[in-house]
Amino acid sequence: MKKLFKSIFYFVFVMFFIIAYSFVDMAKTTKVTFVVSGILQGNIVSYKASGEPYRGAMVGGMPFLVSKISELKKKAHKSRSAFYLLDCGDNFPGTAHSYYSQCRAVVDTMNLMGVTAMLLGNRELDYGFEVLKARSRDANFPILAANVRNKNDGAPFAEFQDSLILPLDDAGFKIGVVGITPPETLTDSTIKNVSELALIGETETVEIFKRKAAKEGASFTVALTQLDFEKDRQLLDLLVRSGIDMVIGLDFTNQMNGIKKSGDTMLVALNGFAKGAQLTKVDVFFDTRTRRPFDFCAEMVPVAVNQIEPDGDCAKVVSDYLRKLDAIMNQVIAVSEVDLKRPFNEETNFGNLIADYMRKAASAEVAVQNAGSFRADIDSGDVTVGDFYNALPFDNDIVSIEVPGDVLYDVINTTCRRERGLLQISGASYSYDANAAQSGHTAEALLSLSVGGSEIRKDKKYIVATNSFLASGQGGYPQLKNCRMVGSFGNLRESVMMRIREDKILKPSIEGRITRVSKP
Amino acid sequence: MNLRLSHKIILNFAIILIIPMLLSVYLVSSDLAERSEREIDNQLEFTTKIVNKFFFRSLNSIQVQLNLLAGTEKFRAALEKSGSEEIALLIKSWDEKLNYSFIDVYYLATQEGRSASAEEEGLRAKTNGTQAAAGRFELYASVRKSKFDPAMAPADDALGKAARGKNQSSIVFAGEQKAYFRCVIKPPENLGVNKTFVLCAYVQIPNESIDAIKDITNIDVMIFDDKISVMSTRFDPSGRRTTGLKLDAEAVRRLEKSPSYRVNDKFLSDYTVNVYSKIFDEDKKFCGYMCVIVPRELFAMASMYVVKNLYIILAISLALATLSGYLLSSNIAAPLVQFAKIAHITSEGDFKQKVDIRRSDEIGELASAFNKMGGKLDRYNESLKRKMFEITTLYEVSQSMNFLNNKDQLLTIILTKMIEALNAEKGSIMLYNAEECLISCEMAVGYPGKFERRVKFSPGEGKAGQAFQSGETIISNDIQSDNSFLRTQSTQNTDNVTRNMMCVPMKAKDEAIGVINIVNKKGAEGFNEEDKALALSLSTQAAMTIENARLYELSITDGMTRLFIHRYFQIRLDEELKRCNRYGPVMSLIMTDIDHFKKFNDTYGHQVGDMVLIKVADIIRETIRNEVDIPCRYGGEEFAIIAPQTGFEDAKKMAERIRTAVESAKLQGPGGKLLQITISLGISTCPLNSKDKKDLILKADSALYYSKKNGRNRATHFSEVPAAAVESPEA
Repeated sequence: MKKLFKSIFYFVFVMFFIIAYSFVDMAKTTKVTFVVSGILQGNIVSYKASGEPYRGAMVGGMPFLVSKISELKKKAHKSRSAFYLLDCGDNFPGTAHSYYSQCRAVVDTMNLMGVTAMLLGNRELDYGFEVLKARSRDANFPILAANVRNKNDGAPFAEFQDSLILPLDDAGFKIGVVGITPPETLTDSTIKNVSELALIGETETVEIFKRKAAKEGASFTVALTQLDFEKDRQLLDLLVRSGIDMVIGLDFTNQMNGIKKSGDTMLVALNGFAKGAQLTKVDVFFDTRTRRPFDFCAEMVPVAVNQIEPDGDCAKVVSDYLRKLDAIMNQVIAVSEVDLKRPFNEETNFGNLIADYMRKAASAEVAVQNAGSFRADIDSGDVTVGDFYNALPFDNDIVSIEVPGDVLYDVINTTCRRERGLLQISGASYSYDANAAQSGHTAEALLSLSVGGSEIRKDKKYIVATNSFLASGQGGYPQLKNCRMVGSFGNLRESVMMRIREDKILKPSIEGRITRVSKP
Repeated sequence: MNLRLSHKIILNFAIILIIPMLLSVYLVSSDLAERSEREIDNQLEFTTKIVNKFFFRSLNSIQVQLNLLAGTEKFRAALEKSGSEEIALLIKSWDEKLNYSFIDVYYLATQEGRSASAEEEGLRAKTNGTQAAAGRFELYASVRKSKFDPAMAPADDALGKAARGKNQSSIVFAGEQKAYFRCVIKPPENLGVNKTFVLCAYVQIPNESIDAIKDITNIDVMIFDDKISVMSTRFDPSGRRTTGLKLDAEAVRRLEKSPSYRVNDKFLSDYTVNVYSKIFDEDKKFCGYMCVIVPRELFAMASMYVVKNLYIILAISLALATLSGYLLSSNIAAPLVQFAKIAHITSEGDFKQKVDIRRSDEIGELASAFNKMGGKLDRYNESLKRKMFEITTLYEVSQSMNFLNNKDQLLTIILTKMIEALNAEKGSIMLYNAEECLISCEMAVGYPGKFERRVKFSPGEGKAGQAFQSGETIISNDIQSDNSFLRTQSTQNTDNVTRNMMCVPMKAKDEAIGVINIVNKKGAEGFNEEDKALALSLSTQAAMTIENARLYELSITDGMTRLFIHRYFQIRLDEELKRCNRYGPVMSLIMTDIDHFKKFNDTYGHQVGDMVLIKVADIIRETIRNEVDIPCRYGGEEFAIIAPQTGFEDAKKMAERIRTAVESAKLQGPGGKLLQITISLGISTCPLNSKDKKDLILKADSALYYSKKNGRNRATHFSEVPAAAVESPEA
């Protein structure tokens, strides 16, 4: 018995010292947990991951994401750590839920996440600046865009903030966070969406922030960006040189494991394909006296459906949006008398239907639409919004561009030569040599190209309706990038659907617009 | 289990209040639970009915619309004249009004060679009858917007019933996600066509029809065909409607027996109550199953609040009960505890403890009575103690006195005992000297310095004198302001301040023989009547003892020389010899005789002779060891001194000292003449010379005789007397 008491006494004695030491240690250390989210791209519901590291598993979804963040927050508070959720942006658009709720579904659910600050990503502008401004006002978190200014007067927008100073303790320890919107926003976005915006230089942005941080007494600075740490070297170097303590960016290689160092700067990366399936958590340990970090550790946190209970409140919000969306998706917009077949290496009635509507919408002479933009067939009978959304899921706009005859010829020749998804055409027809295309050697696969019934004139400039994806030179047709933009006619799918609603009955056919000839 | 009274009271209160409260909480909550169960049942039944109604609400309008369309002139003409293709074309134009998915037109085909018209006639005749239409229906025209599942087609008897004018409405399912309202009607009677036509329209039931329920009521609905869910307001985490889910087998089994089946469920993070019921068409024919999913929080709340409030009331009651118990216990139990404690202390003999309760109620009265009783008991006890003390003191004093024959010792013990008994600091005894007519201080205790017999008062002088003269005890508790107090040198000493004083006269045989002064009672109170009574008792005892001592002293003392008389000498010599013989030490006997005493008598008269005797006696008394040696007048001018514990040498020295002292004494005779006195001494020692009394006296006498004979004024020990010179006194 005596022995037992003796050992209990020693145990308590040792424990006392361990606990006392840990308190002494804690007194010297301030721990801060940064969780990085973002690149949600409108994914408010869980989905089956198609890429690594979670291929095949049900991942993401706002109810699970909110629940996971809440769990991380609880853990941080338990370990007496400050907790900040910094978001890399590119959240609002990207899915039908986003589109039809005009991003409300995303913002409403993000409001449950407890975001400390979100970066304004370039994708946020996809549904237009007005939509973005409205959603910024709905958000209960600040949206950071230090380099975004009003094109007209050079002033910042009231909807965004340049930076944020986070007080960490009563002793005046502060953290400064600046958001730097991707510089390519102006060039990559649809022109009308960014017509009000101007971007100031990164150097100036960083200087302004550093002055503010110094004035407010922030001793640790964080830059919230969408930098690809592998590619965007220039801006990264600038930030590192400027003495920013932590740069949050994106990792598309899935190699970084969340963090690495460049000089004294911590580079914290979120998976560039995260889409709500992954978070990056970084614990930074500060010396309370010097207020400088002396240690850190990072962790990639998966958001997997089978690992966590969903957040009830968020699930309700999501469910409400899903029901509303379902009602929209089930709306019958027309009756198709024929099955609509998506195209690939041939002319299809569906391809013709869309190309025709595009040409009409843009009042163009010709319309071209890439086969890859069609993702599903539609059966005959009632055609619903959902059918169209499944068939044409990409949120591209109809644009009209001025294309010289030779460029148009070159573009059509390119599609024939490659024969990996032929461009669907309206207002014109073409025939090509299948053998030449398959050999892959001959530059000329196109046999004929007539516009409006007559042979194409290479010296003439044609008004061509296409989608914004192709117009920006993507999809393997860089020739179109340099063509002059004539007009923009709104979202392709919506614009087409609007016209279909008017027509009610669909009965497209194959008209011989694309002829495949096998020349001996 | 030993519980304190206060705990018992609190416990009683708690039990008295808590048990009924617990009971009521239990009863109310169980009643509530029962009621809420019933309520839930009612609500669920009601909800299910509403959902059913809601679900079927489109059917009537479809029927009406279909009837209207089928009754148009255009359609009648088409049926009458046109072929199936024209009819189909016409039906297509109905799309906007009906939003149908499929419309089929059937006609009653001719049976067994009978003409169509005859068949038709027969059928018409039976239209209002009860007999079923016998016959086979064939598809005449059909408009199908999408792929048609043949399983959805109505059976012949349904078509037959419709042909007899009884419209058939039902719900049919095709695949996982599609449910249709199917209306089978017969076009209005006045068609005037030869064939019997029946129209069958299928309108897809949109999910929005149940979504509306969810949006308005937050109640989820799932519609099952006989196996799987076909419609649902719920979405799984991937954002898909929860269609294609298998129907709960238990639900199917239970629904065979009862109209509804209820089960608790959890979906994602929501707790729900799922109610399964069957869906019937207008003909009460089974179509499928419906599951109404109600969030449990919708029901739980009302009863939860009541029970919560009940628990709050319970908690408050418990607190109040405990408080009441505590108050009661502090009002009753706490005083009782105090009573018990004080009673226990009282039983131990301490009556001074009081119950400290000052209240005007019964407990206060009890406390007051208890304290009064305690006070009385205390006083009786004190008085008894006092009496006991007095008796004990008297006994002790008398005991002490009985064993003492020395006057100073006697006075000391009397005084010490009285000071102790009267709880005083000091005191003195003054005895009346009849020769001087003064009272003089004979003994003092508690005064600093050596006691000196020098304070003397006349009767009536000072406090002691007053007491002596009046024979009454005098108490003065403020002696410093008392003018009759005589300040002696000793009382003026700052160390010896007198604060209060009691002077008690000592009376023997109604005659005052002295005064006992007791000074400075300890404590602030001073002397009281009880002290006075005790002092009087003690002084009386002391007076008697002193008087007895005085009388005894007189009886064994020679009146002139104040030495012990011959008889006393004989007694004491016997005692000392016995002691000497028993315990072994030595003792000596010195006999002395005044030289030429007869000459003094003869020359100067007997008075001078007496003076000589007194002088020699005084010298002897002063020279010998006080309290040890025993000086006696042996007879005439002869004295004897018993010297215990004294051997040859010491006895010789003592004798020589006496002799020298007498020789050097100056006695003034008549006419101022100095008289020279000498004495002769003889000494014998026991056991050196003898152990026998007579022989010892004889031998001392022989030695005295030898001294006389050899020139007087000398001391001779018997051992020094030559044997030849020993003579018997007789000789």
